[in-house]
Amino acid sequence: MRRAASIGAGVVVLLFVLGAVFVIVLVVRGIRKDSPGAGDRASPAFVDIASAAGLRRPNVSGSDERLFIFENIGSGGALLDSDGDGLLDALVINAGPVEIVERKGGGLRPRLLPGPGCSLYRQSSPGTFEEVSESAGMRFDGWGVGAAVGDVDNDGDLDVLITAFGPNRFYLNRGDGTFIERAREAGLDHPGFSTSAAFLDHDGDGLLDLYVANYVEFDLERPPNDGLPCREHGVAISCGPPMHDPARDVLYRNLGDGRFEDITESAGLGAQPGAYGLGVAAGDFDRDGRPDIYVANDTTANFLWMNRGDGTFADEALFRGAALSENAQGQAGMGVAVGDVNGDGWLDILVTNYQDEPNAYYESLGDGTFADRSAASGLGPASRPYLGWGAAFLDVTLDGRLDVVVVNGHVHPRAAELGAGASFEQPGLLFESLGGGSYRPAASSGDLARPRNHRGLAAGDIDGDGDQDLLVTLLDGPPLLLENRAGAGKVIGLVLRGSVSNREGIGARIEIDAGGRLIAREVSRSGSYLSAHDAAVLVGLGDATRADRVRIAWPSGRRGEAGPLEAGSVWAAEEANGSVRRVRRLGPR
Amino acid sequence: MRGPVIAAFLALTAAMAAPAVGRDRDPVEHARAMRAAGDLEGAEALLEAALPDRSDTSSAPRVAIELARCRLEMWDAEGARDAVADGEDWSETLGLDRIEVLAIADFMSGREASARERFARLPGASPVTQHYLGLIDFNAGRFERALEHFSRALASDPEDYYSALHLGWCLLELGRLEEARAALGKLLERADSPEVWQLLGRVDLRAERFADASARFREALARSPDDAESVFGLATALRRLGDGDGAREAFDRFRVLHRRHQEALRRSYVLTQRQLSSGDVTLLEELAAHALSAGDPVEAERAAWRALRGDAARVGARLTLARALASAGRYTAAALHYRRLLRAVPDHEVATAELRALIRDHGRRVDDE
Repeated sequence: MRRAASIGAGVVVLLFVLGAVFVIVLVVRGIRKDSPGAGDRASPAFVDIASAAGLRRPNVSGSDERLFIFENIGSGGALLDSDGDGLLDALVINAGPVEIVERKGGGLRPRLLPGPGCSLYRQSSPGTFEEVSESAGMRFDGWGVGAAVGDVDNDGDLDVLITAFGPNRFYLNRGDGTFIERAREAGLDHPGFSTSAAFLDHDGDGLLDLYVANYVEFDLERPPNDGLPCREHGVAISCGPPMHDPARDVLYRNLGDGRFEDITESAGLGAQPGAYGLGVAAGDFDRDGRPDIYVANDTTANFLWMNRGDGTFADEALFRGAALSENAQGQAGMGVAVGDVNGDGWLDILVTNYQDEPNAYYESLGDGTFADRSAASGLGPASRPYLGWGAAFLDVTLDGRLDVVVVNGHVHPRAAELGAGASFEQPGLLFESLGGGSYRPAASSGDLARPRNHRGLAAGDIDGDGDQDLLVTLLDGPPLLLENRAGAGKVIGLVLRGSVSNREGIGARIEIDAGGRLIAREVSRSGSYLSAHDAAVLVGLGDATRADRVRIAWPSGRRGEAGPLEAGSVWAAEEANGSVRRVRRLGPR
Repeated sequence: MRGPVIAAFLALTAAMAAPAVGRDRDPVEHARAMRAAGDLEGAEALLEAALPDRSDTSSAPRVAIELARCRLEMWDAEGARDAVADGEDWSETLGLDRIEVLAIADFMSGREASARERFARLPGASPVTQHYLGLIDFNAGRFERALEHFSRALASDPEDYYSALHLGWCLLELGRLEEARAALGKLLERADSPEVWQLLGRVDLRAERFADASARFREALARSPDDAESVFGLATALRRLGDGDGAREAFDRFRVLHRRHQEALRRSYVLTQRQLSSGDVTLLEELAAHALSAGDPVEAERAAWRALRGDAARVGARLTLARALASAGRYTAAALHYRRLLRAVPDHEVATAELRALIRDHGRRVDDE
């Protein structure tokens, strides 16, 4: 009797425990199922590890007053494996101080002083960076602005263009992680005020060509308004773009012998008057197999240079619906992000704009034209209080949908005196994809949300765990290295090894079938603002444990197919023989 | 479509002037009559002369308030603030009038946060106050709050065109497209204006009713052929309808208008900044003439007034002001400034010819006004 009672009590306890476990499992599964996005997670999506990792040198950009336009656009950065050791390194571009002196005949003029120099931080061991700028030969103490990265000589290592206010610099990688500066020899030492740049193979010859956006014409000896500040509501501020002549962008063709040829005119880009170019992204917007170029211009219509396939381009942004705001206004285009947001296989475009201008989201209509869905997507209205710069579509949570990261900050230190709600330092924003091109602000974006004066943004998997982390540059402070802690789903990584095409397969289109979904991505380093992303393609698969099929359309026109490929690994696809092999397994998150 | 916002301000400011009552010993009533007739400078001189008489403590604040309003109508926010500067201890009613004047001056100067704070202090918020609060929230992208203010303004004054226009615009921005269509359609019944048609076109464009949108934009363009936004809207609607040739033709037309607009904006910006740096009144005169030639009579009027505030004898500024007022349909005020110019320069042939043409074409309106 006692034994029976004891057994009965044990059954009750067991049932209770099983029931409790069942409830816990349901709750946990329910939470996981219902919270694919960063917004619902208790932990912050991004945590800044820059200082601990060794990225500490502050950026400098002129004087505290910032009364000249070049002082407030900031500098960018790049994520790249500069020495081929499999770990991403960080390049932070830096500008410098400025001295204001009196001009002969009245007025003022700025004098640029040597800056602290750009910083190349090598990831010497996982999570630890050390600055190697000097030893790596990347010495540049001029007024650096942006970075573009590409393997221009197809030798398997990454070369770097640094855009500048002054002659651009081009650092050719020697193959051992050290660089030699070759801008003049390569013909890339454009002397103006360059901003973002993008490497792309525009003519399909397997060599990366180069598009360089230029901002304004600025003569240091004869600054606009006699060097005096402009005024808004009685507040002294830097003069805006209209006080400057717009600069013309430049397209270079890679000649394959270490030199580049300026083909701006012959390629048809001279047909447009200069604009105030800031952000550049290459992408095949009409899916004809050739890369096109999107340029975010400040205060004027954006460009969409459609590749005609004969070595020339035509700006069709206006006709294709990606030039202006919904009500026909030129906005202050700063950064640009490109990606297939709504899963239809076509590239969509996000442009970051000035405060009180919603960021513009141009959704592809599936024929190379676009509709302005800034308001309906949720990306426009929530961005209105902020002045946006770097931007990226990336799958933060690894659910297979592209989320959006935008970093912000005002140009005028006295922004608070200029209007309602303005502040100099502003938070970054994370928008969580709801699918179908709809977004909502994420509830917890962590250190991204802290108000700062953000500028550049580059994405890449710094810690090798399969989700994308961020390098963010500030106008006046050390960079941020934001570790992504929101990645929850399965992920597959792909790196391309071109043989006929350019070495990294820049411009290749990748389609993945996984879990009954089709996910399309394009291999690119361009976009954002003054920055270069890593080229590895990381695709969140949600709950799917493998990619059933992977199809690759190489820039050369070749096609490859592989699969199934197991999630949790980075795979390398070779153009030469069509093979796909595992490079490494992804680390734990 | 910034014109309506500024024009709304003008309409509301002008509405503050009482109907003409003829000459009166009370300087305030007299000044109001002069303002209503468009003689702002005359009204200001009258009030300035009356203001030093501080012995009449009951009338001095009234005179100061009226002087401030007069200066606001001349786009002189700083002068308006000066007029009521020492009114901290005025009676409650006049104190509220002072707050309203200061709020409008702040709004005019772009100090919207301060303007908002002042307007919010006004009890029982009048339609004018609600309208301004709506504009401030609208400009800041706070469309839900703006909608509330415009709704309140319309509840008090259902005939308020600009509040009705902005109410429809808010609904468009909020994506409440059916409500926007209904509100703007209702407004259209009493105000057949190009901007209402244009907003209706944008509502239909966003609702992907492209045929309807193209029809609306065509209506807008029938009333305002050079409205770049409507041309852009028409081009976009045609593109979405698959009419590639029509779209390209419209986009080409837009490109010309847009470039002209961009160049005009740039020129305005450069002139404004050069003037702010140098203080040179000649540049204001140039800015006014440029704005008028670029099709912006409101900006022309503002710049001309600023030039005249710096130097009332500026012939060029006076001529531009007269032209701007005439192009805005304010013929009596325009005629007044032509006459004032001719008193200073009797043989000014251009002013003479334009005044004659004004009287010939709009004499009845001038008399009526």
